[in-house]
Amino acid sequence: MTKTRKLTTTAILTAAALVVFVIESQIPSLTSVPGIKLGLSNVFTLFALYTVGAPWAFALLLIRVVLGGLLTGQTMAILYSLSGGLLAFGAMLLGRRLIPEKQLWVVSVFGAIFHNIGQIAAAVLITSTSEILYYLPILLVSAIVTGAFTGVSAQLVLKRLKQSRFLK
Amino acid sequence: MKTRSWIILFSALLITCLAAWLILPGLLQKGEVVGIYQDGELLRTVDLSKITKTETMTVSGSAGDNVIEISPGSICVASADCPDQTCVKHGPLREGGAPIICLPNRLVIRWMEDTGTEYDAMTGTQEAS
Repeated sequence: MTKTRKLTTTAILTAAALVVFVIESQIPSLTSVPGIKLGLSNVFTLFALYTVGAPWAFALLLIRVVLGGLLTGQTMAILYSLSGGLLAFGAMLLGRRLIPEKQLWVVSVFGAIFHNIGQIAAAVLITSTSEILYYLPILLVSAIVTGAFTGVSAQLVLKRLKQSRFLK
Repeated sequence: MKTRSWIILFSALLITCLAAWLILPGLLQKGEVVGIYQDGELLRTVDLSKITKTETMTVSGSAGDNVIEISPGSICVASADCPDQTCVKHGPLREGGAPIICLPNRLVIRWMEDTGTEYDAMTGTQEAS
């Protein structure tokens, strides 16, 4: 893949991730626990990580978090998202080295788990309210379920697009 | 690792976390005493079994006000100025349930872990000094 191709692919993926993020933020939360959501935009981060590479995927993540926070008007959420996102990215980067691509969904579950740990850590530090840790078990439950779902999605898309000419 | 092993590992973790979520707050709770905290500081303790009539209490923070409704055997956030309304949607504090948390105002309403302090028998409440 040429550099220009990588740049344009990342740009498209970033735009798509942002759209999905904004649409998802409009869906009302099903539970009274803050921080539980599907996290569909992570499909794009994962996908980028496996196609255009880590630096591009990292850029996608940063732009998505900052612009997503500004577009949805939740500027405080940027801090939580960023701390969760960075930790998740680290976990997924490591997971990519250790786990074969056939088990991409496992990498996604680890990403989701660390995303929620990072988010809770940021919330505890920012608000100095350690009671938020009560949410950790249920957020991990949510991370395993949503992480597996988004991971399987990314895995299927990756498999299909590798068969097409999109990634050449 | 095989896919099957991963599924078993994640399922086990999922069940453990679910159990922790359901059981943990109940283990920490002792009695009917509730603490209202802001910024990690105890504002007030309320013994719900000693409340006889409904009263409200307003807590102000950077995101506006939270109106806490204290009635016999029950406590909840009746209204809040913040946009997410998580604390209102939480409903009343359940027996052995998770604490009510308002992140924007850093307000926490939870069961007390220790009931070593003396309470006013008349009102069942005690103002923090």
